[in-house]
Amino acid sequence: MIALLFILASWTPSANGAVSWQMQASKLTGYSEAIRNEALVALKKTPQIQDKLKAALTTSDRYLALDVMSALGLHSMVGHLLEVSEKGDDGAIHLTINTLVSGDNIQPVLEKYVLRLRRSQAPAVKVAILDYLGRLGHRLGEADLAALARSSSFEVRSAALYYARLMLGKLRKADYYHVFRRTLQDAATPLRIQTIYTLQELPFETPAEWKNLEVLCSKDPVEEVRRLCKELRG
Amino acid sequence: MSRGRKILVALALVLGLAALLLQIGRKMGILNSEQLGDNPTAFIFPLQKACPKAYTALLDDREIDIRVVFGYKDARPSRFVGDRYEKAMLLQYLTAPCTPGWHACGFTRSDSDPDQLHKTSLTAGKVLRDFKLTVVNSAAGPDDDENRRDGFQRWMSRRAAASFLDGIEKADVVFYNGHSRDGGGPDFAPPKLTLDKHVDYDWYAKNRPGVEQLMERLSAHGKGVDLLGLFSCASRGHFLEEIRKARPKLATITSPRLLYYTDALRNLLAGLSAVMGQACESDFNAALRARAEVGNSLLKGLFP
Repeated sequence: MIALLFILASWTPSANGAVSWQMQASKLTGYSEAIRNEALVALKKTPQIQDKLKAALTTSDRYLALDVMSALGLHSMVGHLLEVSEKGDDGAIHLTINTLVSGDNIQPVLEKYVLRLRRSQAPAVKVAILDYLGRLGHRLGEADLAALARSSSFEVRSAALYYARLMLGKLRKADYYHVFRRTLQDAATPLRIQTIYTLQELPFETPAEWKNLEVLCSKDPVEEVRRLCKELRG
Repeated sequence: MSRGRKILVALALVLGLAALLLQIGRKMGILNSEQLGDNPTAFIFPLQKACPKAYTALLDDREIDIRVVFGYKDARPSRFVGDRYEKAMLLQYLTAPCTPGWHACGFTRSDSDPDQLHKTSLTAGKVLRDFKLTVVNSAAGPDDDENRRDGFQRWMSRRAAASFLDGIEKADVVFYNGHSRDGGGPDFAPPKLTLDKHVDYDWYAKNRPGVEQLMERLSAHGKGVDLLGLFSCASRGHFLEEIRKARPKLATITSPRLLYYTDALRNLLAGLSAVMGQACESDFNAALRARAEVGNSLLKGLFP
């Protein structure tokens, strides 16, 4: 009898509910649209879902919780996610914030993001931030972007270059010359190749000064880079 | 009260107490130690024991060639593509310092090609081995629409496919983490879409481009891969039968069901650690299932 009471005491509604929302959350990806929609309806009906998701952020269920926040479009979570991610993130929280930012809360997010790019953060976080700023067309100064293009993380350097590609596609004018100059001299061959592809596809005529970039890559020690560079020179 | 009843009551009491303590532990965050953030221990499952004999063939060279290839992980009909982020996440773990019983760690990256990682360590049989780990992903960026306009995407897709397929012929271990495309995968490029921007699964099921290339390489002469892990949805049903027909003795890790992305990542890391630590069968299997939230992966053929 006592044992039964112990079991009942430990079988709390929150534990029961947690299993339920996890199972529904797992149906958000990989299943048909009908199953996904059913899961969304069930998740919306789950009592205190926001509290449960917040609590899950410090457990192994955090990725499921983040997926649910995105899928339900819980814009009100942005402030909390920004706060939680201050303590550390492997990129997943920032990706979720990116899906939830709306006109109302965009300014504080942008301010935090620019600060986080300047500070020491996990590379995956900086990649998520750069991608978001690029998608949004939020211009970073050349000094800021050049610093990111010198990052010790290859992923951050590559994301800085990807950001430049997105921005120049939007601005349709020459910018970030020193970033390209830096990435064309990077030790990592894939980054030099990414730079050449980016330069090849710029949607505008480049200024005369940019011819120096072509000279740079024509002297590259790697044959593949020189070959691609030749195509760039036309 | 008879002796038997006393034992039953005592047993029930112990079980009840255990359940209560588990619940308290969970609430206090004691038993659920996966406090993430920058803590690089989230996916770690420490191995207890080594069984070097099972790995004699797999680890017989001085240099061990391991490939981890992320397929093109689009989320169609949404434009988001995630493999770039997953690779960044994985690298944080691979380059983090090691802890006892955990081996997928302590790698250093090459400056000229950061997708090449390296680690020298003593195996359980006290033999020095150079682990050469290649980690590549397929997507140039996080937006599928944008990637389709990007010449660099074609370069990335070619490189990822080449790393995977060459690995099938030459490497010791190859792990694929990506989409199964309803049996048409592995896939390293933006997918074929229907008019409403969904993946054209009918086309993939009919043409099976990925698996045909895989079978071609598996049937090729030469050393061939010793362990192939397909961390993709229902990879067991989609691919295992054909793989075993082509290479009956090949050790495999496949998934019987849909696989959530973090489970795929966790199982992959666990598999990598298990190989490098020469885990015994029970440990290997436990590691593959250790952190599974909604999916697991199954090992077959490594142990006689």
